[in-house]
Amino acid sequence: MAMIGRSVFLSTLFACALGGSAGHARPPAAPVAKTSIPNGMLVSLGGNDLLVWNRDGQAQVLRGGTSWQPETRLPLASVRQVRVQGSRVLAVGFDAEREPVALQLTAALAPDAQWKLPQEWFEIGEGATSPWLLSEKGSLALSPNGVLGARAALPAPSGAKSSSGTLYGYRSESGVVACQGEDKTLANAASAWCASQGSAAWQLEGRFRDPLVCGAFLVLRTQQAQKTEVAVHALASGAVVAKALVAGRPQLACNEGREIVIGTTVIEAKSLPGLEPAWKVKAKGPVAAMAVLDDWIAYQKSGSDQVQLVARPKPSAK
Amino acid sequence: MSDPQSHPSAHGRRVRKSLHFYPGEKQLLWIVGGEVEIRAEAWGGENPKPNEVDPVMKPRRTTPGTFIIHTYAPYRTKTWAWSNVRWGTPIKPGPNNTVLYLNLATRAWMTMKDRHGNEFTQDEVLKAHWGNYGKTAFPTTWQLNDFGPFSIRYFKDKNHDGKLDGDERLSGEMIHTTPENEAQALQGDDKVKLGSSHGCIHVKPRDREFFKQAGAFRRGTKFVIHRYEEVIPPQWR
Repeated sequence: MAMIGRSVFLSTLFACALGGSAGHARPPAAPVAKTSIPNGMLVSLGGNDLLVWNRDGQAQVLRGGTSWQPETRLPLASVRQVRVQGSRVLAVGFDAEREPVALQLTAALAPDAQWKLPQEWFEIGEGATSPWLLSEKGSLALSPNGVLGARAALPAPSGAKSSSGTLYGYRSESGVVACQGEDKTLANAASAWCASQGSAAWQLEGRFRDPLVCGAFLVLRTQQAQKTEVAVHALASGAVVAKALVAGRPQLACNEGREIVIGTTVIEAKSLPGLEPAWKVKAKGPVAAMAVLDDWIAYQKSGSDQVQLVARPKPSAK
Repeated sequence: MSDPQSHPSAHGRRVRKSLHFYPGEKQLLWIVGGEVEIRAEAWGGENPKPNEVDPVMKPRRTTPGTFIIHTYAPYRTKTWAWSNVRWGTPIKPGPNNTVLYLNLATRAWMTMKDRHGNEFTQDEVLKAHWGNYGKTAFPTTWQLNDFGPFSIRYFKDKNHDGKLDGDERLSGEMIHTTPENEAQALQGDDKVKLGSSHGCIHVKPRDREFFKQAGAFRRGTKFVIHRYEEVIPPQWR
């Protein structure tokens, strides 16, 4: 097993309060933690625990924002996606026989449930109390003891054709919102879409990508040359409630359902739904990956083997 | 200058050769000395179905006419996001789910993105690669160019001099394979299922090689695209 860098040292970060940030404390100086997994994906495990993982299955947990646990390996030959669903860590990927598999992991990343999946490209659904996946054939519940549960149709725009775009799904009490990314192929070119179900079903089409549900809002981003349009839609109606242009290609994360944290060369939070500036700190380079912890914003710069931690101001209650 | 549309036979006589596409019958024929030397399945374009929306380009029937073959080469275009990079270009995962390709001119690794600046994600590349090849590892070369490894370009020879000159332009329609068909061909030629194009002519990977080896894609070859209503004449059936 690789030796783990445990050095944690202090770095002073520029922090400034902006309009709308009244009540936020200025972020204190933040630690920098070196991981042995450069260019990893960052996932908040709840509290101040952070998971860094890559597609080869390398994984490492930063406990409490200060202490790296020994590097471990997720029991998958190829990891596709890792998400936290409630108190569970779910991973989908492929086993050594290249069969699709879903795993439920403990907070220590030990597997405590496994599901053999049909030969479909599954994504992990968000927002539900019980684990679920989605593929182009619909949603799939993951029942206890490795049993695959019920299938259900996903909402989709009328006339939507088979697409190679990646799926996103969010389940709430009022139903499922599903999105699919653009199909970039000549053969099946199709716009990205999001759709809801139920009596007030709505649908959206466009060039947006990486949908993100945050609180009662669906946040979509659309690249426009050197800028990105961030659009906030009401989850209940699909209607646009706010838009903002952000320089470059930002990373987005949800902060307690009340703020969108935007990572570029700075990390800034905008309040939902109006995208009013809340707070802003300077990043130590372009943010390539980002996760919101209880007390920190964790981010990794492009190509870096360091995870930077910036103190996270709490959103003011409204 | 020798006639590029004829070639010396074993007896020293020049033999007329030409390529013919019958889109209505979905056949591509390599005619040598009036006889069919190669016959292969080939699909042209179709007009869009009612309510069919294509966000990039409206499909259309393949343009009929007499053309001249110009090049057999890898093709890239910014019009189609996944055709912005040549087939076979080295790729690798980049930071935060991005995809990098090796710019062969500068030897620099660049981020793959579409003409709007949208970066490709590893997820969408993995999904497409898995769909085509059933492989779960991240591919090391780009195999999603919509035009396959090689495209055959042709042009309308307005001044009948056999050369691309004056106000002549290469046709935007071309003969090519697709990524799906390239992947299917690895399972066997009988697994390849051709489909309609946006106006180009789709052929099977193995047939593309047969035609090439026979000289059908040599520069200067006469290429006739017949109308959809035209049927193959009895002598070529």
